[in-house]
Amino acid sequence: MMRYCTIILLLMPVALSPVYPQALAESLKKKESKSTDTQEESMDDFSDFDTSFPPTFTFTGFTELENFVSTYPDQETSDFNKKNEIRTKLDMKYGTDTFYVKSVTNVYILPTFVDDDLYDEYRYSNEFRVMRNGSISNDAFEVNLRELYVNYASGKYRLRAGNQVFAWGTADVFNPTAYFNPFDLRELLFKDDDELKLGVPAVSGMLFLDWFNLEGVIVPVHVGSAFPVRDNFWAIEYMEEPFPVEVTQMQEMDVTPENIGYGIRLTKNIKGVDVSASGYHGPDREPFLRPIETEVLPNEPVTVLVQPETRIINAGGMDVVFTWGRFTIQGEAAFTADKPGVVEQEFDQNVELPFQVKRSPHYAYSVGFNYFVPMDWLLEDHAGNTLFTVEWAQSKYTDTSLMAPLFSDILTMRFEDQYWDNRIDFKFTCIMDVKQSAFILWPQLGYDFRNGFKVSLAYQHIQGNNDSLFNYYQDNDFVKLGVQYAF
Amino acid sequence: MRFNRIIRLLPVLLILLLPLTGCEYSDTELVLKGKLDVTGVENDIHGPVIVGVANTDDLEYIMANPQDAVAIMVPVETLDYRFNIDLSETSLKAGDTVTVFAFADNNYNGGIPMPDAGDLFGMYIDESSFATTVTLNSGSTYVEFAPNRDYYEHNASISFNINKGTEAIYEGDSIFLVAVHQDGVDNEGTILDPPTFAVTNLDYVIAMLKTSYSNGNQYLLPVLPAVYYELPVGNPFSINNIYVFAIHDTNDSGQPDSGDLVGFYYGTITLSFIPINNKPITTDLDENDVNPLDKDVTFFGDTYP
Repeated sequence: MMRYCTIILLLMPVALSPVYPQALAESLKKKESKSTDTQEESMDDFSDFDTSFPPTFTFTGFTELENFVSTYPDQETSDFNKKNEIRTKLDMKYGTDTFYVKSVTNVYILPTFVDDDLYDEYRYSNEFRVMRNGSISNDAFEVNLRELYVNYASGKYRLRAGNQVFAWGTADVFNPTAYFNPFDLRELLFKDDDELKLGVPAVSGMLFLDWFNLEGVIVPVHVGSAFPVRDNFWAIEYMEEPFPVEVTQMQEMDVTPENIGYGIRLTKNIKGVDVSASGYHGPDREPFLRPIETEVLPNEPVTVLVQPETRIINAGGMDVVFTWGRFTIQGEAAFTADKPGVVEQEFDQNVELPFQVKRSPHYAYSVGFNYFVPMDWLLEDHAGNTLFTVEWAQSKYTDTSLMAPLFSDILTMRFEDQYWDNRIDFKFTCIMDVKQSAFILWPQLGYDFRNGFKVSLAYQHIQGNNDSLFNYYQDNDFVKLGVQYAF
Repeated sequence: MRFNRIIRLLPVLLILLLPLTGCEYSDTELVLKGKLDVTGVENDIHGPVIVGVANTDDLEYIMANPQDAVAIMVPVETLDYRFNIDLSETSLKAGDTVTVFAFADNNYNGGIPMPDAGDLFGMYIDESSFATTVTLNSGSTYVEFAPNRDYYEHNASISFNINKGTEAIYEGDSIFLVAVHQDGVDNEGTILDPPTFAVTNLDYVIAMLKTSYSNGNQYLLPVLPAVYYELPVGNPFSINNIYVFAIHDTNDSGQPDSGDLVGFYYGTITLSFIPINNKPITTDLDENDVNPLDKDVTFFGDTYP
């Protein structure tokens, strides 16, 4: 019964969408502009206060079929198909411009919801699970409450309570000063931009003063990063001869007053340069991977289990962004005085489990630029936006006895071109782990039919090497085919 | 049903877009099956029982360098002590020779399971050939052995010279060195029915080494880290009543078998001070270190029964 209810829930927005031509029109209008982070959208909502009454209900969103097909040749034909997911995103708002409830919810469902035998390498979680942000999932469906908050604004301040995503920082990919929202790493970095960060239950407030803006955030409970379940297509599995190593689910911190996270951010525009300074105390958003124990199950290899864990940290950082001609240049850095890390050990007969955890000063920064390429200079008929983005991100412990952070020395480059009146959307992304000579090549091609439908085709080639995180996904090249209907 | 078919068809359509022609997938089964005989030691098992597959027969190297030597370690179902190990994900392939060992990790606490003092240990040894390796068949291979040895952390070994006497033994010839407790040797008989001194029970073997003959060389025979649970072992580590044999691979079969020349640590039977025969005698290992024999292991022309 629950299955049918979920299917109806998924299809309902599609069925209802013709009834809301205004919402559809807004949706189309929105697609013409470059998508931005939801938090920034919310800021736009807030910028022109009015006292609109009565309260209104609006919603936009889309339903998408997303398919992953592995291109790794050494597997059974039936194993090529990795994921066929229906995602419905609902962006809903009810209230006036000053007092409203907003929800951005993603509902996912896999065909294994109907037939368990279709495949078993893609699951949202191993069992029915209620996450700390209220999201629920089991192996074949998930309702992800990315944003669900109450907003109240008056004059010079704004208050919010509920699930939120805080887009602190200016970098495009890796934001060292985005302390609050953990990553959803269940597809490494291949989830869509609006899925990569998990919402956290929080209370936040903003003060808009004449000479600066001040934002404060309190996150009462720790929400951990999401890792792929074991035996999943995206699971981190490798061999430390003779033991397979597998990463388990993250150990979230206890719900206690000591584990409350809080941070503050000051933002000011100084002669055209947006400058922010921020501070944070609370659970580290970036978990460390700690080998903790072995698992001994009959007739299964003795397996070393690695558990993502985190600890309380104290961090501070700043970010800048400014425009210079066709360039937008951004930089962001954070320093953590006491970031926890795992002490490296040789994996030999003397290895001791669990690995030790030690604190160390740590720094992380991202610098990069966006260049709006004047394609119309090259192609006269070209009508659309062309953007070239480059970002360099580094993350280091000063104590070299600790294992390196998950993501460091990453150079990201993306060329993005919208052509034929923005109907065709082409992206080519290259993510390089420079130190380990590993990389990901990621071409994407989309076509917007301008009637709500959009199709996209992408290919991800992952070239691992040495100790790179990408090495775990050496055999995970895949093609992604998506069909989307926006309403 | 139609929904399922559509879903299944999707990857096929997409695969057609990919340059995958020529890619073939072969899934060859490589399985090690077997059973552990825990008769007599079942009550001494207090932890997981783990079977290991190593790519060398050098036990000392296996224990010191498991990351290089051991291909896989798999816990055994302790209801029936049968195992079924899929080796296809390891670097091993059909035709490889491997050492199969098992141990009960009695002090397992969630760490890396490795045999150490207090554990039970056993390894596959072919009773006829003394071979400690098994060749993996394509498909499945079956082995059966007993983890019935107590594991000690000791440094005991036996050192001795080999005297080939007048036998046709040449430099580089293969020889097997074996030390075995007297209870595992046919050493009882009469004048009319003399003992053969054949090894009758491999459980009592405390040391074995395959090496090559070299004139004047001193041999060091390390005692295995695990000895049969019924053997009386002293503290510090010591074992009494040990025979030491050297078996020359006379017929070049790669294993000790009938007709091979046998040398031994010996004593002389005398009649009124007149020596009339030499026969194997036992020695005691008193030192948890090198135990030198006071006489050579000598070939007198006896052959393996």
